[in-house]
Amino acid sequence: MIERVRIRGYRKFRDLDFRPHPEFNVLVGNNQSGKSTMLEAITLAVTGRINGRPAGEELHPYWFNRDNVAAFFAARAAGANPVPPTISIEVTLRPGPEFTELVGADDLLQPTGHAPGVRLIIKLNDEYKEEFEAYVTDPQTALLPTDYYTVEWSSFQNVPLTQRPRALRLAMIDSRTVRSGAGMDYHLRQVIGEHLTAEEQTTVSAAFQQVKETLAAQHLTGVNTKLASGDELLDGGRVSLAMDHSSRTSWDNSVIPHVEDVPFVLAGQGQQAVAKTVLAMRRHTDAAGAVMIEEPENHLSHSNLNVLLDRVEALAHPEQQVFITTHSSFVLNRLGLDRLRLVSDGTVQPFTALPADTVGYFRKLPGFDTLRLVLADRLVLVEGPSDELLFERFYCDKYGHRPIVDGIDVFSMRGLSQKRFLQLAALAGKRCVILSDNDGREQPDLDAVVADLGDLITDDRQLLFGTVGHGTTLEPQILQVNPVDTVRTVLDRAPNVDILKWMGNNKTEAALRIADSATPLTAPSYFSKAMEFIHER
Amino acid sequence: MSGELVLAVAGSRKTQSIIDACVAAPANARILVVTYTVNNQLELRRRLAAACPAATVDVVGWFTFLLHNIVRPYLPFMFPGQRVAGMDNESAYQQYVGVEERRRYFTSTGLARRVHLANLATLLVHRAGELPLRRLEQLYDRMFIDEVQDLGGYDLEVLQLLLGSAVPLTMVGDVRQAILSTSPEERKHKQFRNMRVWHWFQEQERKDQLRITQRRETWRCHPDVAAFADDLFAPTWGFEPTVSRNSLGTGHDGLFLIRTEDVDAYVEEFAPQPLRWDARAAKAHDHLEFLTFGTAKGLTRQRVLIFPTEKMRKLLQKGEPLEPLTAAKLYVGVTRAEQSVAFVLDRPGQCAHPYWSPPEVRPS
Repeated sequence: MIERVRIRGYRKFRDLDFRPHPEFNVLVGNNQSGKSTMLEAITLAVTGRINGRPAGEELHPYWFNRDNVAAFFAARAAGANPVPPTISIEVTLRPGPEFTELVGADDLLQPTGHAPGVRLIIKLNDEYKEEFEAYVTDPQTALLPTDYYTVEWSSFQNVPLTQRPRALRLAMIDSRTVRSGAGMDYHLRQVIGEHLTAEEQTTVSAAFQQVKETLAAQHLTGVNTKLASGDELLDGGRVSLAMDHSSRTSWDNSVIPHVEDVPFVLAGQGQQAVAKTVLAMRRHTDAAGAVMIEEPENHLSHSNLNVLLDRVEALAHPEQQVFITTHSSFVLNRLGLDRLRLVSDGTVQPFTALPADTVGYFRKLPGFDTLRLVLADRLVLVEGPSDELLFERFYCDKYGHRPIVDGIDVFSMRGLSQKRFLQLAALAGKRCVILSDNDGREQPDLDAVVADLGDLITDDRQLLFGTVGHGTTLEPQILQVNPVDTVRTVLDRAPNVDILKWMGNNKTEAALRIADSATPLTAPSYFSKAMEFIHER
Repeated sequence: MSGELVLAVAGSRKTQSIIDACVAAPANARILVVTYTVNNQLELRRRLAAACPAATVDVVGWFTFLLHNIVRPYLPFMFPGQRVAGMDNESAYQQYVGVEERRRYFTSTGLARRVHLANLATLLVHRAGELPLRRLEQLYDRMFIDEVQDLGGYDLEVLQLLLGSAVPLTMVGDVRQAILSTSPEERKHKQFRNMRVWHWFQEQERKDQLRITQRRETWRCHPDVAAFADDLFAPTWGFEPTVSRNSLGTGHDGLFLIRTEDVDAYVEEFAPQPLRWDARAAKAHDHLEFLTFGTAKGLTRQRVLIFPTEKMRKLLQKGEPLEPLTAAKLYVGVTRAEQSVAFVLDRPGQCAHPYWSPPEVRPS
């Protein structure tokens, strides 16, 4: 189990100190925020590989944190002699007898104790110091010459590793790049290999060898006899056939898993993702390990995603740590908001402080777009779709552009309680405002509602009601501040139509017409207040 | 108190006692065996492999032990970011480099200087709040150090720290054979160099840090040989007299003197192992297959033939006692023999050992 991930100088992560949840981590963030990079970094440190190949072979200038590289070249240009940019990824494991061999100082630069762990360091190869110096003295590009770099992969014991420590189990399920083509990919082979005990592997391997020999002895003899009677080669040698015994033809390269009797590679990508996930999580259900799943929502229909998440939840156990990246609020709500880890700007923030009942609440409301809420800059919560449309329109009228341009995301309640919304906003540290109908209540009742929310209401989080006496919902509130004839024109209704009644019965249609109209309407005062509040930084 | 020193005479099956303990350990036990010389590591590995203990036994050299269990894992506590490319066996003692300086312990290419490795290890154990000891406790149920008399200088500081860990530590050795040294240039604990390491162990016993037991039975040396070896050391050292369990008689047992002109005949007759101080000694007999006292360490031979140094001659002729290092070397030489030890000595002085002479030349 991974207790801590310390990344210095790798891509987005200039200096990251992330302590994952022991069981579930749902990594969420905008595109390019570093979710996948995080999983990639963990894989690098644990396996020494990336995309199934040794890190040294895949080393790339863009792995180095851009700010670090820029700072390095800037300092060089200014005549200083800074330390060349270095990447270090340190993964601390939970102490246990199986990891004792990996124990050493828990941090290469600032140790505070000891723990088992693995680290991958990418640094300038001392042997190429002069070449590097010559290069950076007159750099042709702002990229680092990675040819002069070396990858050091070791345990915290600081003894170089040549392969993943056996006790350290990590499976990566990347459903975006399920590889088709020949046989299994690296990860899958690893997963299947670990399902078998050493004895089972030996037995299978020996049997396979025997099959090959039988084939050669019984069926190739005839062919070879025929070949032998043919023309001699130039040097007098003869051609005969034998089985290939190289590792390319070992048993694990000759078998492929079948899903529902369909060869794995021919199964749908969704099925492949499910099969890989289940295989990875099921192996050694009693053993400690970590499973990383990238964007399980890809290639899966809603109902299949549900099935997959069911499996993931069912197969999870306290010794099995799961990391999931997702862009789907559905995945997030289902797995539990408390497991959310927000990745942004090279940081990872946990969401653990959320009360259990709120987590349960969103779990029962998996359709709610929590992710949007978490990722937005500032939030506005309104009663329904028509309020949403009108807020957007009023905002455009006032500021000349849509609220999303200012990073303001407008949500409809859709049954969401104000309290839950505020809790989430508070935890995410978002400025937000809720626009609520007064529902015919008097001012003291409304004040009591606000008071009830206690410290959820602050200078940064407001709850605003439609003005008492101006109507119970948004529609009468609009009519209060706009001449009825203007509204009639905007809505394109005949003079005999009761505008208030029509608006009440056709909320969405009315909102659409107002939103599309060339004539702007005046916003009700609670909308104006809300716009000013949320617009202000 | 979890430490024990077994002071064992030559031929008392010291190494075998470690093998026996490993074999007797339960299957889930993890045992670490540390020793100084490469030969002894190979010997231990070979004999352990033959004995097939159920327990997991790691055999490592002293410097590897320091490097892998203390220096590598805990280096960030003193020199964050320092690379350890390997070990440098050649570096001289860094007399003018401060104890806090990286240069004292590492070459510019990141090799750890062997000469200061124990010093660095000692510092790291302190800097890391003794975490290295906790690590060893997690890794091992029992530790043995063979040939412990070879340790000195900062090694003794490391030993002291190890005695403070919860891992039962058994040290086996014979200070009478202290002729090698892990740290010949080290100034720390100079007073305990070579044989005088015995005083360090005695001091630890007084401080209740360890218990000393002496194994005085030899299965190798003939009683006369054992008695001669014992007499090389003054009673003030406090070594218990050796008891010989060798009751074999071959007709040529015990101590003998040989005249130079009879050497070839003696070699012809008994095929003894010739021993000398170093390659410059006994040049006239270079045709013999010599070992030095140092390289003979750990070996068993039925008979040895010793070409004594000037001091050794004085011991034999006048009874002048030897200084400790020479005494230790002679002790090693003498105790290689099961049945007989012969000295090449032309003038016997007070020496009472009989001369061996070739039988009268028979008429041809």
